[in-house]
Amino acid sequence: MIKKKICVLGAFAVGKTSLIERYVKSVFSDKYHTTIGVKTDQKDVEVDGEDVRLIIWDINGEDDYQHVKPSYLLGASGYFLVADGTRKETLEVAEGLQKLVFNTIGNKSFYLLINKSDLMDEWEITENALNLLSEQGWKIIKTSAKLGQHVDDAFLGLCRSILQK
Amino acid sequence: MTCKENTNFCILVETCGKIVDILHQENNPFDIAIEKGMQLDQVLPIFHGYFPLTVECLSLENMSFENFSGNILLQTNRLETEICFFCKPEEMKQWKDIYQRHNQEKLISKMLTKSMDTMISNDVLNSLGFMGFEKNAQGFVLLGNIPNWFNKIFPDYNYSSNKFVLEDIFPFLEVFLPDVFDMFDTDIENKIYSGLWTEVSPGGDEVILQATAINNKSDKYIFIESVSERNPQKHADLQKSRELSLKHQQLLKTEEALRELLKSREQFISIFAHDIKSPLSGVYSLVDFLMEDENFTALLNEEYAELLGVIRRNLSTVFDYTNQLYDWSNLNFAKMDVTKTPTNLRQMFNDVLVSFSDKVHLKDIKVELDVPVDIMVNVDAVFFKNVIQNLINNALKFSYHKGLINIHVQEQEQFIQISIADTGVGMDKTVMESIFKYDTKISTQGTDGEMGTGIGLNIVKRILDLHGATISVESELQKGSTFIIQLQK
Repeated sequence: MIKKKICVLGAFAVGKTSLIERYVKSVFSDKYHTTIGVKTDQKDVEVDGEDVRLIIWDINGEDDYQHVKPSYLLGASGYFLVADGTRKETLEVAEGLQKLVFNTIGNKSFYLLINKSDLMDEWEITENALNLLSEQGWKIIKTSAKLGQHVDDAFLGLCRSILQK
Repeated sequence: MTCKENTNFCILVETCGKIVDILHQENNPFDIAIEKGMQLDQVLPIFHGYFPLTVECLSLENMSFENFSGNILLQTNRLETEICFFCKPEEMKQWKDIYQRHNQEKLISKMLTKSMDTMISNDVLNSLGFMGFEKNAQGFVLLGNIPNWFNKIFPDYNYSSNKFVLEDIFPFLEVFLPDVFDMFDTDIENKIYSGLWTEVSPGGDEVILQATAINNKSDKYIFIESVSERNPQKHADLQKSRELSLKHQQLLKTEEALRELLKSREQFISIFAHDIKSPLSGVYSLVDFLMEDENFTALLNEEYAELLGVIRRNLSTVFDYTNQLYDWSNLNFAKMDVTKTPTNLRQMFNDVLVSFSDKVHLKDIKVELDVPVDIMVNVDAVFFKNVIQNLINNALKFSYHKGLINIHVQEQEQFIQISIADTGVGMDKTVMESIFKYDTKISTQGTDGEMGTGIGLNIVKRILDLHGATISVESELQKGSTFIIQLQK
C-alpha cells in the first residue's frame, strides 16, 4: 500500500477538522473546536484499483495566534485549501496559504474547498471571485461538512490527481 | 507595635517565642487555633530556631506550608517580634508553574550530564509526564515507563519491544525528525523543540503534545510531553479568543450593514426633502401672494379668508419642517464640512430678525438686540445662521404675547458668548437634560399652538459641534429660558 500525505489548510473556523472528520469518521459536530498545532488522521482508500493510505494533516487555522509552519508541509503530495463561503476574508487567507505552499514544496496537486454550502444564502464569496481563480487553473469544489456534500468527491479527486502526477 | 499595612494575619511574640497577641485572627490560614500564651514553634514548627531573632527584620518570600501561600515578614524590637503573613495564593500559583517548568528543564539537563544508568529513574520521567527515548545505533529506545497520556491515546499499542519507530506512532514527527537528526550529527550541545500537535484518544479526548530533542555530546534523546496536562488553560484560551474573534467579525459585518442602511435612509430623506422643497415653496408663495392681494381677499367671505390663513400657517410649518429635515439629513454623519469665514454677528442677527418680523409682530414681542455693531466671528455663515434661526424661532415659539426676547453678545478673553433669553414657558429639569442629545426628539407646541419638528436643537448642537462651540441652557418653568453659546475666538 502506498502512503500519501495530504495537508488541509485554511483560516480558522472554516471547517477543516469537520471536513476530515466527515470523510474519515462520517461524523459532524456543529460545535466549533479549535485545533492546536497539527492533528493527523489516516484513511485507507482504493483509487482506480490502487490501495492508498492517506495520511491527512489537519493543520491549525491560520490567524494572529497560530501560523502555518512551512516545515509541516514537507513530504506532502497534495493539499486542500479550505475557505468558509460565509466569510469572504477566508478566501484571501487561502490565497495567501497557496503561495506559502507553492514556495515551500513547489507545484503539488490541490483543491480549493469552499465549505458551508449548506449556508449558501449567507455566502459572501461570489461566483465572480471563484471564476477568477478557476481561470488560473484552481480546482474548486463547494462542500458541506455538515451535510457531507461533495466531501468524498473532493478527497477522491485530490487522491486521483496525486496519483496521476 | 502596629501591624504592617496589607497584613492578612499577624502574630506578636516575646523574644523567647511566646505568643502575646494575634491580629486579624479571623484570617488565620492555619488549621490549628493559635492562642495567646502558646509557644510559636510548637504551633508552627517552621519557625523553630528563629527565636530570638538575631536581625531586626527578616523577610521570608514565596513560602508555602499548611494552608498558607505567600510572604512572611518578621520584625523585632527589644521586647517582641511581629510576624506578618501576607497571603498571595494566586501569585504563588503563577510562580509555581514557572518554577515547575524551570525545574523540569534543569532536572533533564542534570540527568544528561551523568550516566543514564545512575540518574534516570522510571519514576522521575513518569512523574514529569515525559515519554523519553534515547537514540542509539538501533533506533529510539524507550526510557522509563509509558506515561498515562500515551496509554490513553494508544490503549492497544503493542510495545513488546522497547524500540520505537517514532514517526509511525506520531506521524507529525516526520517533519521534526530531519532537524533532529541534523542536530544529532553534530557534537554541539543543543536542544530543539517541535511545534505542537494533537492526538485523539479512541474516546475522543484530545492530548496536545510537544517534543524536545536534546544533544548532549554522545547522548541523544527525545522527550515527548503532554502540553495539555502541563498547561490545560492554553487550549481553552485559544478556543475562547477564536470564538470571540468570530463574534467580532460578525459584529463588524452587522455594523457595516447597519451603516449602509442608515446611509441609504439619510440619502432618501435628503433627496425627498430637497425635491419637495421647491414645489412647496411655490405653493406657499402663491398663497402668500393671494393673501396680500387686496382685490382677491375682498372677494372672500370671513370664513374663507380664515381658511386661507390656516392653509398658509400649515404650509409654513410644513415648509419649515422640510427645511429642517433637509439640514438634519445632510448634517448626519458630518457629510458637510464647515467653511469658516469672518462674519459680522450683528448683521447676521439683523437678517434673521427681519425674516421673523411677522412672527414678532403677531405675538407683539419686544426684541432687545444687545450686540456690538462691529463684532466679528469666525464661523460658517450658512450653518451658523441656521443656529441663530433655530434659537430665535424657539424663543418666539415659547414666548407669550407681549413677551421679551433679549439677545446679548459679549466678547470675553478666549471666546465670544452669545445668549438668547426669552420670558416664555421655560422647561423643567428633565427636558433641559435631554434637549441636546442626538437620540432625543422633543416636540412641544408653542404658546399659539405652533408646531415644531423636534429636531431644531439637534441641528443646532451638530452645527456647534462642527464649530467646536458649546451650548448650554438655563431655564425655569413659566419664567423663560436662556440659551448660551460659547464660541472660541
